[in-house]
Amino acid sequence: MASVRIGARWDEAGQDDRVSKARERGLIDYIEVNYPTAYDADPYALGIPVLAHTSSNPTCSVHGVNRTLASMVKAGADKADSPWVGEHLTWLGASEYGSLGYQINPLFTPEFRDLAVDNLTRLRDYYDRKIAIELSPIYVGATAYESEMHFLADVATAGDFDIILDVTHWQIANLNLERPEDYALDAMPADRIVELHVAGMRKGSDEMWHDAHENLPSDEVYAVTDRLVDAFPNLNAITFEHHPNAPESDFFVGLERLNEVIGDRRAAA
Amino acid sequence: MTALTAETRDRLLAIQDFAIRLMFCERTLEAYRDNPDAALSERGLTPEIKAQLPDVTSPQFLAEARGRRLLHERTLGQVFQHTMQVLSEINDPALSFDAFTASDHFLTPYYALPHPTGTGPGYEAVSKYFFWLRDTAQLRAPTGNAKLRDNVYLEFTAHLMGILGKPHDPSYDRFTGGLFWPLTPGTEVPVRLLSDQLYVFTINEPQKVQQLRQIGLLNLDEIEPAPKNDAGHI
Repeated sequence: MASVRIGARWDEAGQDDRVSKARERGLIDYIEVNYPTAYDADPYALGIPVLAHTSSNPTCSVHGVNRTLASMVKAGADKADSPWVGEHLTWLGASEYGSLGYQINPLFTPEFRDLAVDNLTRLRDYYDRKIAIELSPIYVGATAYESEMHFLADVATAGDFDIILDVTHWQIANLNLERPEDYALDAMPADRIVELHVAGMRKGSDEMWHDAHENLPSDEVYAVTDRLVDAFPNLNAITFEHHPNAPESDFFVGLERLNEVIGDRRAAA
Repeated sequence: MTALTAETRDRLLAIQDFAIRLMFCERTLEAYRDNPDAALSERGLTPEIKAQLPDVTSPQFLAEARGRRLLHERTLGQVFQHTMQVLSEINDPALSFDAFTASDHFLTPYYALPHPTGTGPGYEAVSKYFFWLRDTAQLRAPTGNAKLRDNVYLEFTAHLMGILGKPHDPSYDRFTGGLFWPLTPGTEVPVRLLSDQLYVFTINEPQKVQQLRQIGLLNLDEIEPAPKNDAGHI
């Protein structure tokens, strides 16, 4: 039977109180800290195990990954002794460093796959730690691959990386591209999936679905998560992502439901 | 992976840059839509690259591109509320939001302050927008629009004071106390001062302006973007 830990994403000190309460109530086993954190932030003082994650390294960029950013992630991962560092398959712009906002999906082509494998291999060596890779929400279909999921699988296999399957991002992509709920699941290397992300989403006035951490996950996302827990033999962690400014009561509702869904598949403390 | 040749690297850089510009630069998007081969050629790319690029006429692509720009417009609109009102009165396409997102000030990290988290410059758009507007509207020239200058300088200073109120990169400490600027560029007085308590002062005495400098306050006209991040890559 699966044995997974449940965690909550942590972005800022404003979440300290709610994650501490969640820990006290037995709802979480870890916090997933998204680096870089606010200046001088100290999530480690909470005494909760930390899983390191970042969405700030442009792993698919021709320029490679900037050393300033990577060093901040490494410092956090080292302090936390994180079992892996979560990274995104992403561009952040077209310059040698900097960001134009939220992750920008790369062109899913063999050349950018090779770049991603090279950048991530260098990062893994630099971190001296395993890497798990994740996709961002998708709005546009891939061009040189069957899909972004096939690109993810190819990068992971070619580079020997683990995978974070963001259930919400995946379902957003399926809705935006009119694909079935389990699209490309059979293309994923099941034994490489070590973590799931679970969050809310919303339909915009543009008729597209978007990531929406201020919302609770939908019934469908919980149902898909429930099925996936038994599908991945090395699944270790499920992270609930909830916006720091969203109501604390919702945070607990979301975590409680996730705990119900996981049930006795949750790892013993 | 075999090391990229210089030629391959340049080609991939051009592809990445072009794909990014399709998202943020209306001129590039329109040019590509109207004549893709010519638009690609302008960037040193050949027609077969089209097969790698998204369908820019699809509702999905347009929604994503528009959504990304809208997110920035909303964020900047919250910081520069009055500035945006003045800009709508001026109604100059060169000062439009589309012009900003198509500019090097936005697309590159070279016209920004360091991010408050300590990541260095190029990771936030507020300072990019300030430097872009200051440069594009020539707000440091005597002929620049005085109302626009005063509003954008006040709102950017207020934003910087907000950063000082939270843990921040030490490079922001130089803004402690507030910032001042001449109401008319190049003149000594009168000078506007926004303090760190967000009080607005107008100072008409040159000796008082000297005192501001003596206590360490800076002239916002003299604040420049951060130097390039030369940390290199992993």
